[in-house]
Amino acid sequence: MNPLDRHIVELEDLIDLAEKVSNNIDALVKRRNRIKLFMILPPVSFFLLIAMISTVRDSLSVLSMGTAITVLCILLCYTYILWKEHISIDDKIKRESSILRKLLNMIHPFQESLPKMGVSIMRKSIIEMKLSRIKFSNIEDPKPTRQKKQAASPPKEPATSP
Amino acid sequence: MEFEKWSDIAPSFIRVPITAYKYRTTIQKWWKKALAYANRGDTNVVVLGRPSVGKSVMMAYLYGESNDMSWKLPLASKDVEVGALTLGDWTKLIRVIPGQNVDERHKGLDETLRKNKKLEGIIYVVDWGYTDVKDATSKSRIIAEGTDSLNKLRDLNLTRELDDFKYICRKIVETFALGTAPKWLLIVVNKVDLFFDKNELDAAQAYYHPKGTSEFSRAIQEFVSEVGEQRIKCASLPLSSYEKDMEWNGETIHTGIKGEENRKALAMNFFKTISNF
Repeated sequence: MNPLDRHIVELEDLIDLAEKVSNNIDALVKRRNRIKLFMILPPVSFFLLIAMISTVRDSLSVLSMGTAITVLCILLCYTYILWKEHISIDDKIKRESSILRKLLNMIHPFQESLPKMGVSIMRKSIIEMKLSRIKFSNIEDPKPTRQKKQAASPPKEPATSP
Repeated sequence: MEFEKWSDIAPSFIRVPITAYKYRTTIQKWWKKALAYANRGDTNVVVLGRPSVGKSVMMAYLYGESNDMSWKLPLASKDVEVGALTLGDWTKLIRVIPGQNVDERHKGLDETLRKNKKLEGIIYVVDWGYTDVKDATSKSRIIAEGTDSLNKLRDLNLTRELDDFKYICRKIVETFALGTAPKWLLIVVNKVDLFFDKNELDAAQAYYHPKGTSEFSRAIQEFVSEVGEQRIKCASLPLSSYEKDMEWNGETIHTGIKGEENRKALAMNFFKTISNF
């Protein structure tokens, strides 16, 4: 394989990988949004049940209270599972984002060296079309951890000898 | 002698527009900031340039964000960035288009240059060939392909910069037919801290000056003669948004701006030039 062909094959591999990663992030974000929606339901049901339990006055309703408490426990477990799932999806998105960012940094210098190597116009436009399918805006950057602004303490007076 | 202001004689409902007029620039500033926050509104100034020339860092410096202790050097921009900056009396909505040849750049260029009737100016950021490669693998590959010294890297970068500038010029020429043309083009020579020596600064000025004789200057002159000298103003100026040494294959160039006051003077010159456009 001559250097030009190898260069193009490598670039196409990078673009294919970027497309896969971008699609993965898309799917993960959709899944995370669905989980977020389901995570709203348990707290709402929780408060409704609490309200129901607090209104029960007669001793005959002990059975229904027991059922309510059981449902509450199930809801809490369900929320916990959803929360864990949310965290794991967040981690996956972070990992995929870092790969996509690396690919973004790698693809451009590769692509810039194509004209120098004498690649045909057709080949270049195919590469550009493939690139246009990738959503690099899917990259999720880690949230910046902003330091709390600390008020500068006034300078202490020098110790004076009596 | 104390006397009653005429504006105070007016009833309170008339005073509202008077007060609004008095604070019009402040109101406009906050309105533009709100637009920038919501990523809405038409772009007034667009920032362009090759990847890694320091467009985002320059904007962070001009916004005053980079003075914050918690500020970190941004990673490669993946999408169009928006912000509001006061230039002269009025605040402008500024969009930074990513340098990488990806879909987000093409969309950003299309939105800001072709579909935007409020475009006032373009800032094209260059760095006189001192563009670093962010990715370590790509860096190794470029070195292995023969670009093994800083001078070779600079030559390569300057060639690519010129190609990109010509491409942008073609895009701007199209805007004159669409009625969305900018009124000015400013070439900002960033990273001057890496060549803050009289001879090198003069050489950089000669290279990027609209009336120079270099290839870049000729590209500006061709562009200006194509659209008409009366229709666009052109200028170039130096700027140092961030001090950082540059290393390439064992060679290191140290930053040498010689004091914060020099950086501030360059920034002041930037604001003065842009206000006079």
